[in-house]
Formats: sequence, structure tokens, C-alpha cells
Amino acid sequence: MSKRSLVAALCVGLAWTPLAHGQQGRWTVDSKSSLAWWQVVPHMHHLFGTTCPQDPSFVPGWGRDGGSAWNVDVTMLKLPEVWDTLRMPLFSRQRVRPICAEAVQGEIVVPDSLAWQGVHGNVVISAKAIASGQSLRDKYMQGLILESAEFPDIQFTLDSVVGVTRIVVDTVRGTAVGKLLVRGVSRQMSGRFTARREAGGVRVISKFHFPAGDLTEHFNMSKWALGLGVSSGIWKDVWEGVDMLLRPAASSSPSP
Amino acid sequence: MLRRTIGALCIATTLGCTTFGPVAPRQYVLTKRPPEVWVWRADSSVVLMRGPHFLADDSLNLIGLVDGNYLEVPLSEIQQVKADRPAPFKTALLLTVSVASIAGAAVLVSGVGAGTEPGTSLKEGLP
Repeated sequence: MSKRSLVAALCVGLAWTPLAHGQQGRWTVDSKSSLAWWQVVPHMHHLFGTTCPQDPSFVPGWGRDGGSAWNVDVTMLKLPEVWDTLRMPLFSRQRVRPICAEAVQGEIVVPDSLAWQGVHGNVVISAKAIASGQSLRDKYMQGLILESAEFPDIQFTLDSVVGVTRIVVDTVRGTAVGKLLVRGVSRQMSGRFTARREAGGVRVISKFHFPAGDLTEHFNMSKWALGLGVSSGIWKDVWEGVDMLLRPAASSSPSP
Repeated sequence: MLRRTIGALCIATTLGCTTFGPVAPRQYVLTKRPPEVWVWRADSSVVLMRGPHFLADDSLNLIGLVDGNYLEVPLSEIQQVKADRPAPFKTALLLTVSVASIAGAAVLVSGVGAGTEPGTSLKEGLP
């Protein structure tokens, strides 16, 4: 089994939120209702994970530990024969539930929800909370690839949002721009986001990607630890994203 | 011989025959943990659900993967669930027919053998 599990970087970003007038201000991440995920292309039926394996919509991949609620062989699932990114992530959550380990924290500041100027923020993801459903694989990734003892956090610093458009009354889309910090190495990133009202807050979904080769070339991850997946070019892309619930800073704790 | 017979009976009992038919969703899924079931929904659609299960704190929604996508279906929206289930009658019938066939064959073989002279092989006794 793959000792080359994964990777990566998760992270990311997000965006901001206010959907209408009068919603500018400071927003905090509801950690129990938020998650980050990662997925490699091709996923090989096991190269994906989340910080919220408690969510019922997450299906552990091939080689998962016993005790999973899912009695299903993921290799039998109807998956595209050609690797693509149409379903990214493979198992997105259907609805927000306040059941996650508190692995995602952060704050987004929105001074202007009309022109979307000055939006900025910070999202921090605990590297030790990333799970694929197989504890051996997770320990390998956390210890030898992400080196979470030395670099416990993965961080996305949101610098701005651009191209924000309203899709429907309470949903906006745009592009978040910022820096991803993994293992002490930062990289400029941008990715699409969607924000909409849900679960008493604003749900922000965003995803980014970069070439798998950057794991070693840019983020200085161990080629030995990542194995042939990266060095021989089997892994093409690394995707990561967040599915977060934001609440006004003053009432950020409880979930409905 | 006795050991073989008992072994065959154990295998037949364990594997047994199955039949496809309606099951009580909650009880069947919780006790059998089947890899898949067919779900007839109130809107007349029929879907193959893989990995069906219930959440520990929610027995009102059947959860599973349909066409690789996560799906929650309230039990109130399910007309019926069908799955492979044990068929003890078919299993017993199969066992009975098998035993009878083996016994009959044994009788036939022993009958042929009785018609040959002592010390003569079966092949040699034939014309």
C-alpha cells in the first residue's frame, strides 16, 4: 500500500463572503462545521482525504481501516475511466453538520461588500488532522511528508478577491487570491470560490490546484517519502480546498 | 465419509441459496450490512445504492452512494428496498436433491459392481 500517500497540502482558501449590502465586517470560521480536503489526480482510489472524516459523505478510499460505516469497495464505484477533475473533490459533503474536528480556523475581513475591495483574511489548517481513512497512511503523510511535528499548520493568507459575481440572490462566485504556506514555504495561489447562505452562516467552498511536481520542487517535500508517484510523474495534479461555514465574528461559536 | 458429509452440509448451510426480494430497510441494513441494495423511491425511481447504512444518531435517513455520489434518502420517501436475502427453503431443497442424487448414484454403482465376478474389474466385466 502506498507508502506514498499523500500529501499535501491542503488548504486554502477561501474567500470571503458577504452576499449583500450591510454584511461587511469580520467573519470567523466555525471550526466544527468546516473542513479542508485534498485529492491527487489521478486519485488511484485512495489518494484523497479530509480534515473531517466524521462527515458521513466522506468515503475512505482503498485500504481503509476497519470499523468504517461504509461497507463498499471504492474500486467498484462508477468512476471516470479517464482521470479528470469533473468531480473534485470525489466526495463533497451534501450539507453542513457541526461534527468536525476543529482543524480549520481563521478569519475573513470584508470591508466592502459592494466593490469587494480590501477583502483579506487568514485560514489555518492543522496538518495533523488530515485523514484518508487509513491510520498508517495518515501517520506516514503527517510525519514524513508534511513533517507536521515541525510544521503543524498549513496556512492560506487571503490577499484579495476578484471577479466576484452574483449567481442568484444569495450566492456569489469569484476568485480568491493569496498565498499558500506549506512546510514553511509559501506559494502564490488563486482559485474559484462560491459563497452562499446556509446553516445560519455563509458557506464558502473553494478549491485550488498545482502540479504534483511542485510538492518536491517547490515545497521541498521528500522525494524518497513521496516515492515514484511524484518522481515518475504518475501524480499529475494536487487539488486542495475548503468547505467552510463563516459566521459574523461576534457570534461565531454555536451552530444551530 | 461422515466427515465429508458433515463438511458438505456446513458449506451448504453457510453459503446457502439467496433470493432477491423486499426487505425491511432499517433492520436488514443494520443487521446484515449489505454492500448494496436496490431502493424504490416514492417518485417511482429505482436506484442501486452501494454501501447503505444509517448514522448512529439518525435512523430516519438511509445513506449510501448512488452512481458514485453520496445520497441521503429519508425512509419516508422509500417505497421499498430489495436485496439478496437467505432462502432456507431453496437451500434445503438443493441439499435434499443433492443428497438423493449422490445416494442414487451410489446405489447404481454398487449395483453394477455386484453383477461382476469376484476378482474381475468393472471394465473387464463389461462386454
